[in-house]
Amino acid sequence: MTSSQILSWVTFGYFLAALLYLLSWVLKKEKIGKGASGVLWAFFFIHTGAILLRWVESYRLGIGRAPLTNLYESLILFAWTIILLLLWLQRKSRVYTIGTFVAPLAFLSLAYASFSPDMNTRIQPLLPALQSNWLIAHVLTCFLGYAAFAVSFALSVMVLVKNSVSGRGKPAKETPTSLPGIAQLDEWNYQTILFGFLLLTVGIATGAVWAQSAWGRYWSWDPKETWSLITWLVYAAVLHARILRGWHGSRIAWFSIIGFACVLFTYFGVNFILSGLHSYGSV
Amino acid sequence: MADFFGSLKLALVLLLALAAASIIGTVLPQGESLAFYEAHYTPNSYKLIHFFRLYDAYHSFWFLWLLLLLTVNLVVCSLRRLPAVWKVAKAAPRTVTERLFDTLPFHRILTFSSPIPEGRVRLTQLLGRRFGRPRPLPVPDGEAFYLERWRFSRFGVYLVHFSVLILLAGGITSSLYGFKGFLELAEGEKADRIYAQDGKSFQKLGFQVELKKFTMALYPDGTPKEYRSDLLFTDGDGKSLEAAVKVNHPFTHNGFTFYQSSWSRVPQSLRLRLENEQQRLEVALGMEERVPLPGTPYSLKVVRYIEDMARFGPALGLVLFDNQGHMDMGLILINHPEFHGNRIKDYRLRVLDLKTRYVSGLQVNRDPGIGFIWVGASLMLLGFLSTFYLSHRQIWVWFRERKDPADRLLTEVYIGATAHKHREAFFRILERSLQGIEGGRS
Repeated sequence: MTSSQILSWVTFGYFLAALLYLLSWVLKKEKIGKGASGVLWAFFFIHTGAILLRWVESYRLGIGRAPLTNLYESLILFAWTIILLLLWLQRKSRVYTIGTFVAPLAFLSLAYASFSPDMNTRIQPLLPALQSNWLIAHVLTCFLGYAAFAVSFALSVMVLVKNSVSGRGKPAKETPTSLPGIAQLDEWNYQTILFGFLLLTVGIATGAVWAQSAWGRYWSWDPKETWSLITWLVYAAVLHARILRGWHGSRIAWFSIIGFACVLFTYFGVNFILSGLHSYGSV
Repeated sequence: MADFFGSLKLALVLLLALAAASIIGTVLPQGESLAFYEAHYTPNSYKLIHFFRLYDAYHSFWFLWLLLLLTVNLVVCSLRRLPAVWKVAKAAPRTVTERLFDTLPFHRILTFSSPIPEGRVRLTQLLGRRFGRPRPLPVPDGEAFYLERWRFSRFGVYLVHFSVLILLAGGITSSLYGFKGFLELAEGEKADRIYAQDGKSFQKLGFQVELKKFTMALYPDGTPKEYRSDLLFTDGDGKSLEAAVKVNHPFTHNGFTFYQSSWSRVPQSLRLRLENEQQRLEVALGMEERVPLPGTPYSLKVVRYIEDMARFGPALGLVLFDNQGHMDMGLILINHPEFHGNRIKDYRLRVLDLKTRYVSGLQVNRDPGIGFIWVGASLMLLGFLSTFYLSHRQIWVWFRERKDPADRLLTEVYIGATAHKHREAFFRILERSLQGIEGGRS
């Protein structure tokens, strides 16, 4: 079996996990949440194995490169980093409802990679400009940052859902299968944004080092660069608003959703609508 | 004034305004000629583009004004907050009182029935060594210590703001004092100056650079794998140095950095056969070299070499001069001698032999701003790490002896702690290390 086939199975695995998470929330059954978590862990290991297998496959083809260099591979990495952060947050919080909102994002990313008709899944050799030690550092930090912002987006949606639900009736007791309180969600949201902001900064910095060695320009206002800066500025504003103006809850949630829209545009919009140096991102 | 320039509201507005302004340059093509915008946009949009210099948005006056405002905001804001933070961070604790422990967000009193050995030993037993080096405090009664860690993290956010200034300084230095040039060298060619990318000015290198060899490696499927230029640098005093430049592996000599950027191929020597009804000639010639054709009033010059002519392979552009000053031009497909267009006037031309050599396109930069950028980026990351994940952790400990109702000697230990951030995590760790102390009772 090739890595691409395994990954299309992982897509179904994440769909199943997302469905179970949803059921555990709706039916308030902790056992289903445990099951969802088990499914997620299992497919996360398979996912990891498939990425490594793809790496091995590239060596078998005589190319030998990290699987981080085109849209297909980046979507797979995106899903992987999202699940990584989800599992980490779930371990720390012991709350299954986070999975209800985060797991679908990883599923969508993998589904797009696996089932889009014009997706190029072939392993192609690296052009000279991409042959750099900075490739892995740049791509991994950027995508960990993107994933953190995706998780923050999901937490923001949870804040908004919680807000609209908690209006009626008395506050329910918090269990692993209920939505955590606004204060708790807000704190996780903040921590996730901090992490994403740090990683995005490292991603931009490693990109600048790389650009300097490849093209002799650490910054060239290429659309991808510019949009990553726009994203950075928006999240910088989010952090200042929260830390110094005390914005909380749904205000920060809406702000973070706007930030994630910028992330999505940096990731997809730039490739499909604008043009630039980051040609690897195209289909 | 300072209130306005140092306000957080202004900071938020500027961050978002810069974000919004940055969008323009990603949507509107940048750096085209004015005629391009006039042709592609409505007269009113063109007026806007022209007036606000949207064709070079990131260097336009209003974008620079936004950056300047952000700088002022950053400086004023930081300077206004810094003295207070400085005062708190510098304040050394003088002594301890019961009141101090009451006001600290974390406080415990442990009581030991045994008399204590020396306080410092007991302190190590209590807290281990991970909360910092204990410093004794003068107290009239018992022994007291103060421990702290990561005091510098109070300044992390100012480090971040400072790093933004350094980055901006680097950007300005690059654009004012940097030089971006381009150099095309054929194998065996030398140069001692480079031309700016706009082609208008040049810069003397102060040394000579020669392309010894250009090599290209391909993958089995034909896509490029590596481009490499072997360069020889010779300084004024005759000292020389060889170095290879590859994509992603530039080389710096005397402040000029050479980057592999492009390549092409030009003929080094050729042999041509010209044929018409009357005669058959063979000539040998090089690029741009006008050679008389023996027994005719004509001379011939190769003016162009095209690597791939409409997918028919390499082609030559030739000019045939007669002695009246007339010229005739032709393009010849080198790999397709049968092609009917391979002729000038009534001559059929055929390339018998062609030796080419590579031309390497090198980008040559001198960028004095680059140091600022790396220092700025590193400081920013250090600033983020310290401000996001560290906090100034302070602990006060006071050992006092006291008699219980049965007149036995007891030891009371007051422990108080605070942190300027992430208190819960800190207190959890502290709590854990206080648990399981023998004889401890709070």
